[in-house]
Amino acid sequence: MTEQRVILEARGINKSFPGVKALDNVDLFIKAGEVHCLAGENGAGKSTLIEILGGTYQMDSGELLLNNQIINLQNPKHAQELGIAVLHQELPILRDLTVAENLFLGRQPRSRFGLVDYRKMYKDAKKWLDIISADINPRTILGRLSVSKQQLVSIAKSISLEAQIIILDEPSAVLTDVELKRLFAIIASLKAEGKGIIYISHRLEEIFEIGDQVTVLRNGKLVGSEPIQNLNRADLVKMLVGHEVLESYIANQSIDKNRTPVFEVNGLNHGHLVRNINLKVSSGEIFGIYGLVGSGRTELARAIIGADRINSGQIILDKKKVCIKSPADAIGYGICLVPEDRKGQGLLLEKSISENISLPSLKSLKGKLLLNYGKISKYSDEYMKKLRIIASDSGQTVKYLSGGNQQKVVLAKWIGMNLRVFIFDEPTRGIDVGAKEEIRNLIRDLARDKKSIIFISSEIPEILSIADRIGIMHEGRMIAILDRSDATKEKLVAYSMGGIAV
Amino acid sequence: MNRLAKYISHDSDLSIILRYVVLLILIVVASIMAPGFISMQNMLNLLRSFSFLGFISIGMTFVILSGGIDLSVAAILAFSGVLLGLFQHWGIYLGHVDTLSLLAPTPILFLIILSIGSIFGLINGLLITKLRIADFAATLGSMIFIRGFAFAISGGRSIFNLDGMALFLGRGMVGPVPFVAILFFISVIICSIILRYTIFGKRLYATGENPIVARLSGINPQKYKIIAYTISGFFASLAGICMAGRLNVGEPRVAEGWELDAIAAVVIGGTSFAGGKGGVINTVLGVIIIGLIRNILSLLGILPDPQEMIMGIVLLFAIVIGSLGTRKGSLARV
Repeated sequence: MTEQRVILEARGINKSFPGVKALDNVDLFIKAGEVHCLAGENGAGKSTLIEILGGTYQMDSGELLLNNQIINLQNPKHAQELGIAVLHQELPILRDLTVAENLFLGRQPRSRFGLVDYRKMYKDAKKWLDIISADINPRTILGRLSVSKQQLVSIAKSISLEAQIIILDEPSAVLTDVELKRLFAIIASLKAEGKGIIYISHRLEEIFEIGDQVTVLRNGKLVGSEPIQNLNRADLVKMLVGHEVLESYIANQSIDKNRTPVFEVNGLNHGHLVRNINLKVSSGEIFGIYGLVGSGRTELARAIIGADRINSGQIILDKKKVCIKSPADAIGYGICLVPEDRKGQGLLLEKSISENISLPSLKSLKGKLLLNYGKISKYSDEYMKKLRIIASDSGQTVKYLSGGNQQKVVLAKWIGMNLRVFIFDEPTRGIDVGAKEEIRNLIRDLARDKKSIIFISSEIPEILSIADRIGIMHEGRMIAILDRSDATKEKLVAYSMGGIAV
Repeated sequence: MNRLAKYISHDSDLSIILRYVVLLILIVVASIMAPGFISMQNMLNLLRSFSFLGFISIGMTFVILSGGIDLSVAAILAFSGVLLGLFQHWGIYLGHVDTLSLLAPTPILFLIILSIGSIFGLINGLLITKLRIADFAATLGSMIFIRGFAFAISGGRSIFNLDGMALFLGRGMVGPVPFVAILFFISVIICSIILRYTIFGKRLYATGENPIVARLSGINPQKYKIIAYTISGFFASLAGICMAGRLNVGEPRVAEGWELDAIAAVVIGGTSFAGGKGGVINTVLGVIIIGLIRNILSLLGILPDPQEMIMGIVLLFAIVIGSLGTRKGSLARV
């Protein structure tokens, strides 16, 4: 193989966010005519790195060289002008404009009088779409196209910008197999033209199929960069996972010895992210669900409690089929969800701690006719104390609380209600380490009280430290359920990326 | 500026105190300009004149708390008045226009009309929640429809002369106090209790602040929104009956533009446009502030139409004070 020219060099990139070192001295070299895969778990720093390359974030220190010239990216537009195009998973598009208008947004061809020259615009759009052999009419309203076709439009846009570096952020997440094949063909032709392509993927097989080089990040640090041909699957998984000290699993004594399932899900389907899910949880058991972002974990949780209408499937409680059409029904049966988005879905931010805690249990806090504020404040004080929520008093507005205390308020809403099944979606996300352990201990206490728990997390050490069994989701399917004793970090990573266990 | 914004919007007590200060200033100004202003008699008269707007503003408070807006209230008000006129002149279809001919005993007529008003509100709620039409659009449509309906059933005529009981509702006095003002304050007290001390009230606030959180907490936000609109329809209709009694006429042209005054009263009172924050007592404050400003402007000899200019500025001012720093109210983060 001949030595290829390096187009983009990133050297010693550092980037910190409050409380986190997102990138720690990371290097990246992209050559002309190369498909460079970027891999790593959730939170490894991939997104931060591409946001820096795309000009969205400013790095704290480090250098970027484009064609051996030092560049200093100011903003996304600047990056675009220099020839670095980023195709995000969530495409920044204007759904009500036509394909051509989106392609030439902000740089429409002008006629002599300074007006938009539509004829030229549609003709040029057609030209770029033809180059990637996308069968799309440039006059179509973009919002009417499927997501995958919108993705193709974005690719056409980046080619039309004559970008030298094209960054594809998990395109396979939204494409069907046939479209993916087409995308690979387009990538191959871009490669032949000598463009540098950065391809981010969570699927191992894709990396092996189209990658030339793979760079692996873990916890913001560079693990290594190797030509794909020097690696096999096991090597790559090892690079992704590393060998970290795992948090110790505290054996769960409370789990029902016979493992009689209290709560069962049979053949649940909802859209394309919840496909034929089966699971059983017994009393006192913590059932972990691991999966990458977009694997359908949250959608599963929402489908179970009736927040989204399911296409088919059954929920069984104590061997009886129950009909859940709304979260209110679920709560009636003793099933609750602590949602991932604490601020947007868990709390009334403008209201007091007391109002939040009492919201689901108002019925039991009523006098004969009216609400009994004495009861309400006693109730909320009790749970504030029990969960050690730190605030001046229960009248404090929750938006001023720390993340950990906010999460405890969400937990307090449900713990006082004598429910049976608790679903936690990323309960420790975005809170500090001490509070994380406190939340986990509260969940262990619930299990000790014979509650059935579903614990969704994308942090492997965490899920290994708390779950009795772990189900792994990939593209809407539960592809494996492992006992705690069988579960290893390697297995979780391999399954969650759709590969077989190593 | 930032610190001020934080202080005012986050400390709701201060923002309410500010409104009381405004009220106080208005009273002082008015009493200087018109020496008779502070007399008991004038106060009671003012109370009566505020009550009609007051009723629809109470209903509007429920709707705005639920995160919505109701443009159809003034139309429902007019429709209800016309309906009362028609029901009391049922002979109109036989050609006897001026003589009273009741369709049913007056209390039953009231019940029928209040039910019809509530049903209009219910329909608004259903349009918004079931057909997922934007609150503004749905109630704009029903506003135009209901006003047209009022013209249609009355043939565009004013229907003069109502019976004694209807007149008492609008004009009657209990000792020195106008009956309609008593009715208004009873409504305010009942609604305050409903909002503060019932599960319904708490859930309505939750629905207005964040329907997603409400839903995951086991509340059906659609239900609460529908009820809020129904309550709004009920109060609009009550206002219509009282207004007809006050004017002694069922008139399809009455109260044009009042939906905007009601919205202004609610917002000036300090109930947040974003939903979930505020209450009926605040609205009373808003109604009184609006009424007093109009009263003072009239005392100054400013005609009603140019008055709108000043009302507009007051409204904008109130909205700015109320929404500084809030999530939905400010464009700062867009």
